[in-house]
Amino acid sequence: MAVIQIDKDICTGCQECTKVCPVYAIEGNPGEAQTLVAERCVMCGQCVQKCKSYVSLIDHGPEMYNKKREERMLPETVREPLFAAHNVSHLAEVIKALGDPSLFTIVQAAPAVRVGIAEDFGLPLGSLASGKMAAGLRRLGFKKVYDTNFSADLTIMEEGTELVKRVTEKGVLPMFTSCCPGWVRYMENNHPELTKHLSSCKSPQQMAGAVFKTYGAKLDGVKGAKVYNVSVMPCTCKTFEAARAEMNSSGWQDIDVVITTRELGYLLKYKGIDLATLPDEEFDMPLGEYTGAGAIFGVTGGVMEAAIRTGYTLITGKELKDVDINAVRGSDGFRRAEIKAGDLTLKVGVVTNLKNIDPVIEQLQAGTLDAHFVEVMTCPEGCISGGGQPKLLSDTDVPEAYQSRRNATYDHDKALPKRKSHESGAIKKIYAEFLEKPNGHKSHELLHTSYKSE
Amino acid sequence: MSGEGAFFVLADPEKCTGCRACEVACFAAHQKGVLKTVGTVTTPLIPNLYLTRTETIKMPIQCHHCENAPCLQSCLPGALERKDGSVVVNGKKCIGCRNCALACPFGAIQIIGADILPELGGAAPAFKCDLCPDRENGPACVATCPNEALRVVDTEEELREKRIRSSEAAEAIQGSSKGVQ
Repeated sequence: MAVIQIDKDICTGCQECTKVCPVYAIEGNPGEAQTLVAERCVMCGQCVQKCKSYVSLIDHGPEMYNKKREERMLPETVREPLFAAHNVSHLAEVIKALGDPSLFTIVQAAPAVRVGIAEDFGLPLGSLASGKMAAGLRRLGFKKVYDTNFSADLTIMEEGTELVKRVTEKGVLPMFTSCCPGWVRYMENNHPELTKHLSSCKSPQQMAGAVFKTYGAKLDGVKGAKVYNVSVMPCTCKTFEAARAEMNSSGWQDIDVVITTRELGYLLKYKGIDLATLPDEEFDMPLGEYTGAGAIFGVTGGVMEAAIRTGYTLITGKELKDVDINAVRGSDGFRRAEIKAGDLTLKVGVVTNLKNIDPVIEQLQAGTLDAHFVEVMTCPEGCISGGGQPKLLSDTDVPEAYQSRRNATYDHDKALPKRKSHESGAIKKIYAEFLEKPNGHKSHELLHTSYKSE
Repeated sequence: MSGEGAFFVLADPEKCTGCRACEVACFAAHQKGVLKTVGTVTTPLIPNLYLTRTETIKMPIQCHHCENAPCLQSCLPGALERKDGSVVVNGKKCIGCRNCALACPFGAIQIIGADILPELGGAAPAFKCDLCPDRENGPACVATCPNEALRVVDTEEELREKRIRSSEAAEAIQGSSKGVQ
């Protein structure tokens, strides 16, 4: 499916996008419109972030701008420049669903959305807007404002348990994270024989989708068939992930439509809602409850840190005292750490930016990758730098934006009353009432998946 | 910056890829208030410099802030002014007569008509480089260019350097000819 496109009418052939594409999926001669090789593209949207070739009113004329906005199905309220590299928008489907009273619309927003969305409303880079975002989503008319952060905590329960099982029962190691759909696609496309190293856990988005249409529907007293799941993501590849045929374990396609952080901005403006002036509101409970561990999924190393906080308890039966795992923070392309958990020394690695994956894959193929667990995120600093996040007008502001979004994420984690996934009341409740136990039968039905050519 | 026409931004066509990052950054630098992300933009993107492409060359064309500037001389309502060496437009005085655009030998001034920018309510100001006087670190286009194709040229400094190089060359030639004897 087409997720990322390069508009031939606008592309100047500068090839700046080719420099950021981690999989060399963009081809063409300098000075000519570039072509995206769909089979190779992992849909990370870094080209969308980088591209500055816009519809120029001077060169192309105002008619071209209006034509392109219509072609891309963007609301008339969008006045911002339109660039050659863009993601295919599904906003119109969301607008239609919100106007359909027969649907029970549920929305989730990923951890990184709340540290980006306010930027498009004029607030400083990296402003944390959890409460305003919840309020904004409610004003849009969603029946339930749940949260991907909840299912990030759920992912940790499942993935942590899977890791401990693989370590103690001599399963396939190292285990790689599977939250990032670009990374999963890269593995499936290029190294299908290695997909057994991927965690069988679905990403938080997909876990949420499956839970909202089953357990959530029951809690809300509606039929699963009536639930329409909208997902707001910092990621352009999440649309692809949601559309995968196997992502239907609730009995329906688990996620109905995905929009990006930027598109949520379009939607709020279309409805005349100024996010910057909204009061802080809570997410709906219990599927909007989350801990600091769920919140840090948005930054590189975050999934690993969250997993260690709970994994330590799963391995030792004791609580980890210092939950700030600084060893896995940072932005180096590949960083290693060893965590002492009882008698076990857990060896972990974090890869950020898919451009840094090849040496790690080579070690894996050579059998020299000495690690139990490796996190991989496609985008340069994890989801906060995703292809669907607010786009900077000048790349000179990119480092500040990334740093501010990262700091806001860690500050949010620190300020939350609970910082370990297994401490969440909502997580305890869903296992007690519905899932029974992590990696149990029901979990495997709803929350786990398998990969092509495994 | 001081000295009439001493500074301007020059593009190296060998390095320029025509990515338009300079145009976008230029536009952003001239908006009022904080405006860092694309989503905050509510007006058409009109920059003060113009990426120009031919079959073989691409480069942004910018105002040279000429000494005895022809645009400034041609401006009947006095909308063009010299400020700290730069030629800048006073939008309130500009009537969009296009004299400056015609007088400019580089094509560095664009008159934006109401057909393109109806927000201006009929006014049609000249858009041209002002060397980003409000930015501490110099012009936004120079800072953002991913290929370092743009630089601020200090004509007085360049002249001094050229003279030094010429005299050094003369000295070297003299020295080597003495050595031959």
